[in-house]
Amino acid sequence: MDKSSLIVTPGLTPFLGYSLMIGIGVIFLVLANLIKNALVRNTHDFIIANRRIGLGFGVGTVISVWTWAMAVMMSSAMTFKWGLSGLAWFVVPNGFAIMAMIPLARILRRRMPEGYTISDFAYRRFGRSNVAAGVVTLTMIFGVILEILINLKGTSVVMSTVFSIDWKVATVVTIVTVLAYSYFGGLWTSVMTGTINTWTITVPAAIVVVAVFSLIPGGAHAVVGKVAAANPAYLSMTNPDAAFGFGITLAFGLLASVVADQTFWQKVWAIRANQVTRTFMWAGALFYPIPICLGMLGLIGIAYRLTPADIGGDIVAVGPYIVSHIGLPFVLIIAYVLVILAACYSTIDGASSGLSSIVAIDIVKRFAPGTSERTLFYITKVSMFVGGLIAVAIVLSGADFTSLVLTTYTLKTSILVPLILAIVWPRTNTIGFIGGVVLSILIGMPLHQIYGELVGTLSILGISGATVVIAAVLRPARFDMGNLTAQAEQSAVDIQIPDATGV
Amino acid sequence: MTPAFITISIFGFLATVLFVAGYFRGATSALTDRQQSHSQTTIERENKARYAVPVVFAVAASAVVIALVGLNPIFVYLGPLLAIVTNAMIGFAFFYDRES
Repeated sequence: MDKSSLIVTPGLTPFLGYSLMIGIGVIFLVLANLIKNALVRNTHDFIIANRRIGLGFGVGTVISVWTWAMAVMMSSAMTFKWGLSGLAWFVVPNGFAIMAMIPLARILRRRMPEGYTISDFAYRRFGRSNVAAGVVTLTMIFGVILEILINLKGTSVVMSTVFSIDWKVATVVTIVTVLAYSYFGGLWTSVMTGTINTWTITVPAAIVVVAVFSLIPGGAHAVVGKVAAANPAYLSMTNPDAAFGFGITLAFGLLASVVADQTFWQKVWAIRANQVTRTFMWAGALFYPIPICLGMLGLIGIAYRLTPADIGGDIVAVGPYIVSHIGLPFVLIIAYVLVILAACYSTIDGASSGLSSIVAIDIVKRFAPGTSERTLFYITKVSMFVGGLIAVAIVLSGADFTSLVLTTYTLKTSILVPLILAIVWPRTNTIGFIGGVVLSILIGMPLHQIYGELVGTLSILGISGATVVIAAVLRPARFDMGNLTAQAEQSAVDIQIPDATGV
Repeated sequence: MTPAFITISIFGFLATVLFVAGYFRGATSALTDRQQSHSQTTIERENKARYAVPVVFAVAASAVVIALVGLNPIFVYLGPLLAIVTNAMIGFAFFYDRES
């Protein structure tokens, strides 16, 4: 296994790359138009799918929005860097994060059957506090924009690695393509196209990975033998370096990425009530094989003794590099690119759909409740474009978006414990909730920058949780969770979205 | 073409058939549902299924599948095979939905 034998497959032209990117979009655009005509009559359908999503589409869409383009490549990259320990620390918390939603989703779906957004829950849970709701809304918006830009970045890495496309052009083409079809059917489009994308993320991915091993003389045995020869620790799951290097912080980050993300809460309220538990259970469990499958490419990177310099400096490119250089048939290379594009498109349209629900419910309906259905419908749609444009502008500016990543990460981590406590612990009060978030940011963020991710993350979690508990002790009050149910009727009046067929 | 590649391709094809069949059933159900409900939302009862044990099992199983790769190289192919199972299960979910 000599890395000099890895030569880029000829024929991977930029034209082919653009054709793939736009071709998928055109197909989804046709599908979206059909969905719009058949299933979307008003804003209620657009943002919550009339609460009629079943188990199949539910599982498909949750897996598709959780499978980020970057995650597809990161599973290979973490294996490449840390061996099986890296893969385990990347994979295990990923699926668990989805399943961790179950108890929270059950409570809120029971208490707020007519809910739309997690910010709206905060608004009602904390005595119609605009500050509490604002903190949550801001976190959700930051999260959505980050999701979009990270996936844009991931896709541009793949398209530039495989097809030598200018990454800036790839970024623009991607966002235009996704938003063009997302514009039509809203959540229903996101759910139905996302479910198709799960096929792409699973079957072609499995075939490509097995094909790659089939091309290597000696197959899996030779690869694993070379990995063991490079360093036996690569084949162990007990390497503590992976845990402390990224695993523990990633685990909390992933948990925050689900619990503090409207993309998933939108699904909680859009899926039929009797399928919510099962959907998140199945989605979490069935997600696991995807990164495990793609992570095997990282072992090949180790076996070939590749270095970051060999693959362009960024280890996330190890998967695309191997697939495009090992001599796979043309069609399988295209299949791999489709895996990445599917992951990217489904996450961006899911995030855009989540953003549309935030704008409709937490901004327009709250601050301008008299907005007409027609106006609301258009504002909701335009908000998806605005979110996409902001993300593209950040990516194209070439700015180091580390600060945005850090801010969003800190916001999501700081809100994680207070939000969970607000759902499960009736003694959580407004001061504790807001104070927990604010204090953990003010103290935790500098600690994060000075002492690194592990200390920073644990500090933010500890401070936010402790503040909520201390506030509950100092100002004891018990929130009657039944009030949420009582407010549901009021909620239905507040967020009255009448049928507007023909809008 | 190696036996592993042929096997995974066959399983992939079978899973795809189930997925496509399920997808069409799901899409048809959604359309029928929409026509029947016509903007009326039917509130169904919450599913009371227990989930703690399956969650623990799923988490442990994922770790075991990864660990097995270090024990025997043949398990490199288990991940791709399970990815195919994921697709098949999504197809199955469309049928299971109405039965539950």
